[in-house]
Amino acid sequence: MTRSSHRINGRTSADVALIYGIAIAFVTLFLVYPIINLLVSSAVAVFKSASKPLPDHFLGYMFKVTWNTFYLAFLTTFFSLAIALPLSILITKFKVKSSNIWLSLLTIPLITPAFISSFSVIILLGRTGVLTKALKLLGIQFPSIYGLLGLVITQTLHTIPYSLLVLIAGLKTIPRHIEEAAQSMGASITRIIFTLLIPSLYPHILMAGIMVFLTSIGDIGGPLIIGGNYKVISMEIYSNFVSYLGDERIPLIFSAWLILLSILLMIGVNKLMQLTNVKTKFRIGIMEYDNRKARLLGTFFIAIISILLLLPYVAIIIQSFAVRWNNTWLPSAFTLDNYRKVARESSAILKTLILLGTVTPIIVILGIIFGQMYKTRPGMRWLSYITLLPFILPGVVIGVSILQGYSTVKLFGLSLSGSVILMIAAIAIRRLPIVLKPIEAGFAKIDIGQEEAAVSLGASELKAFLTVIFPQIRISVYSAIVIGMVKVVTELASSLIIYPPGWRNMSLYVAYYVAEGFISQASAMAVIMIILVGIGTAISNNLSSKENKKYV
Amino acid sequence: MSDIVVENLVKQFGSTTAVDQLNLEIKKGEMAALLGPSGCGKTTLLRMLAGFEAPSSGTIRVNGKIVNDLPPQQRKIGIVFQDYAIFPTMTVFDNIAYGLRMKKASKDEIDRSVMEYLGLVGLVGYEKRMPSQLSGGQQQRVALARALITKPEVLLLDEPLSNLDAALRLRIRKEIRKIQQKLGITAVFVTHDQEEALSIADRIFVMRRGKLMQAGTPTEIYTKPQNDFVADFIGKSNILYGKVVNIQNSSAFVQTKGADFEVSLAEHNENMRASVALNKDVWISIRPHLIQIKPKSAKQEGKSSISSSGNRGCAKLSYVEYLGNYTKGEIHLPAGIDLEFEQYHLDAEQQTQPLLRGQEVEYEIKPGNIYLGLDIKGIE
Repeated sequence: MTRSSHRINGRTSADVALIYGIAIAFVTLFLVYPIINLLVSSAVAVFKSASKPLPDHFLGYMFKVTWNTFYLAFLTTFFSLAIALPLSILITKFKVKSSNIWLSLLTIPLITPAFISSFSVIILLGRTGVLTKALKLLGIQFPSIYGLLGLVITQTLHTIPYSLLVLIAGLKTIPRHIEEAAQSMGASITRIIFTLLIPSLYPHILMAGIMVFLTSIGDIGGPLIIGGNYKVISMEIYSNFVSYLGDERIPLIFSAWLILLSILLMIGVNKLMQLTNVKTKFRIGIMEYDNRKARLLGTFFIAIISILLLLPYVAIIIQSFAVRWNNTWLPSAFTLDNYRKVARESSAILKTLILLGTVTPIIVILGIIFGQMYKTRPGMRWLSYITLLPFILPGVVIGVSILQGYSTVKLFGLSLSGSVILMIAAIAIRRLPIVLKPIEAGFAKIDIGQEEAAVSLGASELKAFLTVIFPQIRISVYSAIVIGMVKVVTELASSLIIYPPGWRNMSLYVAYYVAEGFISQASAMAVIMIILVGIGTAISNNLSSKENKKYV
Repeated sequence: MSDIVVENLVKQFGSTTAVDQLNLEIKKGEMAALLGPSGCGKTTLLRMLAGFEAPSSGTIRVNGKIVNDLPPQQRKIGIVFQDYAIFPTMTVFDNIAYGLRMKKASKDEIDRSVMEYLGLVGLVGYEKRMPSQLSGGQQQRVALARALITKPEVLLLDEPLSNLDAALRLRIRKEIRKIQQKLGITAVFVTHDQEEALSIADRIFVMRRGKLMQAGTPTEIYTKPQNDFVADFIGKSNILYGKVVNIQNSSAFVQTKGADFEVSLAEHNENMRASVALNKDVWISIRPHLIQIKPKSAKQEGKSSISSSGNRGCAKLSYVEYLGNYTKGEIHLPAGIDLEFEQYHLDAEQQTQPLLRGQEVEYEIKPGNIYLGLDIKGIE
């Protein structure tokens, strides 16, 4: 039966309307208006630049930078998928030994910011890096890490876990019946993999691919730390924005350009996804093969990848205790000085905690409101395209748009650009889709009839939500809180653009130290950051697993 | 006195009309069934009665009062949902107590009432269980108790049995009916299962494409279908279309494609007598179990008598299912007509000597056993 206008008699009570109003106002103020304003401003900059025309070579420069950005994104996507696809098949299909342990190790990059892996690659593969030295011994002269090569390496390493998890999830949706049918008709394992498994995975490959692609386009830490002379759009936006010598129109035009490109990309992918949409519901498990060779290969492969992925973190830990670490196997001497120096900057930790304490509640509450809205009011679902937008937009663009929209606005006589409000808003908008996703997943499992049942028994909509619906999405909210916290702590791109004086948080400090060449201090700060994130994750995981057990 | 009166009710979703100019009345204490194929608007109608959908136009009255604009909370209704909508995070007790808590009833009253209704649905001892520990049938009972505990004026049930297995469905439907009769509550239930509707409803509303096809008691609906759709949808039937070519001795002769049938206008077609006239387009309905079949006797073997009357003659069994207490199947008439039949085994011999596919049989349809109607809606 059609339930298109499910709403209770088509009405929304005043309290619910007010709550929705606040949520929609927040998104309008800090996302919709800034983006539209940015697009308009950039159009003005392009078409009404009579007083100060754009330089002649501008188009060529824009094309070059765009090409660089897409070329890098393409290479990263290719390598990330090329490694993750065979790995995911080996892990899920060939009973690789203790694959769970390997997989949990692989999630470490997921909770740490991309720029940490960028600068740890410098520690390992830089001019004086320990791996560079090792390769030299083998007679290999490793080329300079600064530029395209370094970017591809760090971005690929950072995105492999994303791709891997998406592909493994995909492989787990293929019911064993399909493969059993193929086997009964005499197909070999290789044939099954190439004619059945991989084609069934197309939507997930596409999904992983687009996530990696967008991550690469939006990456600012990588280009900042290791990019060298390789110019990409996000970096050009940032450097022209912060530099006094920069052309202030470039961030506007490039941001608008990136917005258009990202949206086009997303529309294209949406179309493709519809074409390849495979939905299978099944209760039986997945097919696993007993093949000793494949199992050994899989174990070896995942061990190598895990070590490769974890090496940078080991390097950071060693570096954080190092006095000097140049051209030697191990640092010349160990010290706690780096931590002492970082401790003196404890305000950074405080700032991070303050941001955590303000942004996380905002996005989790917004996430719950929008999740509930999309679940119960199909007529409002078009809004989900807007709340998803920050997910595909590079962080620098969000930072630029909000600053551009509000830099001249004064509140109670205080300039907004000098206050932390815009920074909080930017991080909140940027991380909203990441929190919304698990919350929406939680809502998806709920039968909407339960709300109707509660209402028919005399509960108001708000009461029904609090007593019947919320207890069921609590677990999803916990995981949303974890993901939200991790992503708030590690946010860099929009903070970099928007942070007001005195509001350097931990991730900004790491970036600042790296930029200034204080690699050891950066490492110490990064280690503290990883530990903080780790503790948060552990606590929340513990909470949600307790909650999980309750209704089983 | 009518408890629920629906007048000229219309519900549109965009350009599709889910409920179209519907009128119906349900009396106090009645169990009413909204019956129809999927997409007929029955669930939409129920949801409008509940207050989950607002009518596009028309009125719904409960106890004489127009309730169109009342939110569900104020309608004094209890609802049992198709998938029960049991709150999974609450115990059986808390689920059932929910409505009373919303009314801010005292703890004593809640304890007493919940135990009473647990008893009513036969779940005493289960109050501390979580819904995940209950079977489908038990969840159904929790849903029923939860809907009834607030003493609603009307109980609405949305396909309450569709998620249960066949045996349980029969048991629960009996329980629901008994509880409804015991409490004397007006109940409306949605179903697509005509047997379910016939078995427990006092009044059936047959719907199709948002329109009411017929309203009546189960007997009326079954024996006096107003149109070919109802005749076909309620119980099985062979529906044939034709023209009245002759009327004599209180019989109408209907010419269908292939054969003529004599239809008695004396018995249950009495009401048609005045309106049947020569050359009228009519439909006739032949219930499968009213076709008599016997194996062709030896002396007639080989003689294929093509009778001009469809009422009796020889036919070939083109399909047979043996079902123990009866045999059903299809006969192919020489005139090119296929008719479904059901033959109940009334003695042991019939039961042990099954009909076989391909066998030649003699059949007979008495003129009084054919139902005739003028209103042609078309069947699906």
